[in-house]
Amino acid sequence: MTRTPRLVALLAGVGLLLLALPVVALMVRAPWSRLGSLLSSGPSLEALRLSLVTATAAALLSAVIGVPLAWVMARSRVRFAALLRAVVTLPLVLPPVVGGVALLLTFGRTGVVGRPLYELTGHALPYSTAGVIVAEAFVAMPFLVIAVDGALRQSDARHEEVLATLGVPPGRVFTRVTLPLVRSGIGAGLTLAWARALGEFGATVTFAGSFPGRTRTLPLEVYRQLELDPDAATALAMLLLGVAVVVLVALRGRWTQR
Amino acid sequence: MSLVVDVRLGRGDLELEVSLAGLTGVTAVVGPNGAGKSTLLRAIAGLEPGAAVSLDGVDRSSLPPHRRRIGLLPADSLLRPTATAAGEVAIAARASGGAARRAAATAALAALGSAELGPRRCAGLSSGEAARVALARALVAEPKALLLDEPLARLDAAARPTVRAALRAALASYSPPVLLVTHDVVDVAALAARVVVLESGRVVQDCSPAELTERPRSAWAAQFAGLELLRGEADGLAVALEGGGVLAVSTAARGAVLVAVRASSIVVSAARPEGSARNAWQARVTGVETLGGDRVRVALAGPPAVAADVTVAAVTELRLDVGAAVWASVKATDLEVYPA
Repeated sequence: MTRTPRLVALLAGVGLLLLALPVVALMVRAPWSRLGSLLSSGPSLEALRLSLVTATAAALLSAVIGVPLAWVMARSRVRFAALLRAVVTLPLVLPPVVGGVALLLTFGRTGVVGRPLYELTGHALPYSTAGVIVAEAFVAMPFLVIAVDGALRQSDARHEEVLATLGVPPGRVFTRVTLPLVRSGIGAGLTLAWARALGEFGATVTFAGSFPGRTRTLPLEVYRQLELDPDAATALAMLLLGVAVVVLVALRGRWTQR
Repeated sequence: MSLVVDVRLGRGDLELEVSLAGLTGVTAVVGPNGAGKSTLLRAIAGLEPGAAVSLDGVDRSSLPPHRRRIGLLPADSLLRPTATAAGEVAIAARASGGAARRAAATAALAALGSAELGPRRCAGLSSGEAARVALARALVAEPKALLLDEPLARLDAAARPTVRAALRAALASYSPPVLLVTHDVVDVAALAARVVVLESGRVVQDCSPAELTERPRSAWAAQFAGLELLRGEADGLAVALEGGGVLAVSTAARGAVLVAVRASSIVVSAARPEGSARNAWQARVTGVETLGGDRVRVALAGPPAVAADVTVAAVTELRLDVGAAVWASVKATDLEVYPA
């Protein structure tokens, strides 16, 4: 092993501090004694419940449409796959608030899809719980698609081909062979997508606003409480931190040991 | 049943152009790496475009792989690790209904003498056991033609004889046409009635296994059969070789010929060998390679340039190192001469 150059060690230390210090500060300043009562207050519980429901729904929605998307991506020809991959990755690098604006222009009452949808059904997505789920899925689905795409590309496509030549129809091959082979990839993707959806702020507040019980999720409640009651905000932040740690453990080193 | 294939496709460096008619029974497909053997099978199975395939005169070219009923068995068994062996076989069973599928799977495993594997999880199977499960899965699908892509190549040496025996027994009672890609001359001899040599996407020889081992038509085919191939111009009992040198042969011929030389029939000695009717020439050693056991293959620069199989004792005694000067000789009766 070579010796680490001094400047590299110094910069690495600064980098580590930047990432770790805020987490430490959060834990130091957390109102530990009042944590229970702060978290069990009406608005907190309401936001927590809404967050769990929407994040879970967004993760499941992402799986239902994201796994087939990942399959098409992994099994199509190189150039088409590259194009698909670019489209799927865009929401990852797009500022969430831009995503929210884009969603408004699409699904808003005067939006490209929203207007006919509203005229047809009398319902519009923005400022509704369903809107929160769509905003969260928009931001979270790329995580799932990329995880499943990776698992599919590592799995052997010849496995599917061989069964096809033995007369097994494509639908059966997909459910009996492909899905079981990438089960762990889907699990990791679901976890990541759920965690991302749970923490979603920008797209949600832009597209769905902040209505208590309807669209005000935990991150929105943290932001609101920061001005009203910083201790409550810190307590909620601790809760989200705890969830993040649990997700890290659930993924069992999938991301930390590679 | 009779299979007719006409494959014309280009993929990367490979230009595959293969036309095979009247395929019945087991036909071995051999050839160097990259010759297009696996691609040929994939095309016939419908996994690559560019193959015209008909079975008993009925065109199947436009059918997708899962309707074509031409089963492919690759070198890797490709079983679902979490499935049981019986469950893995059952997925390809043609019967409808879970119970009927399972019964067909159990019967298919039993037919290969592997009934005991049924309840075991695929992840825990040895390579030989997995190969038998994969074979049962292919047979239970009742394909109208079967394509085997080096079914024994990935097995460890201990598992090979049992799987070869299972394969042999299965193919003996199997009437549809079979194409068997292999790198093993023993497989060809043991399993096939016809052999096709594929080189750079073209068929260079299409004959019986016996003819391949006696009269190979290309340098690669000769090497596959354990022979060396020399080209020359025959005039009665003498053949003037392309690379220089003249060999005496025991059957008279005229014109362009091929001479097949078995490495084991080349004798290497320190001095000019005694005796008549022998071809003898001075040669220089250009390579020495252990074949395993007691055998060593010595490459000799002639002319003619040939390879000789000698014992380890001979290597020591004659000091057969690269650069050594020796005499090589071969009996005229050990040379097979046939028109090029």
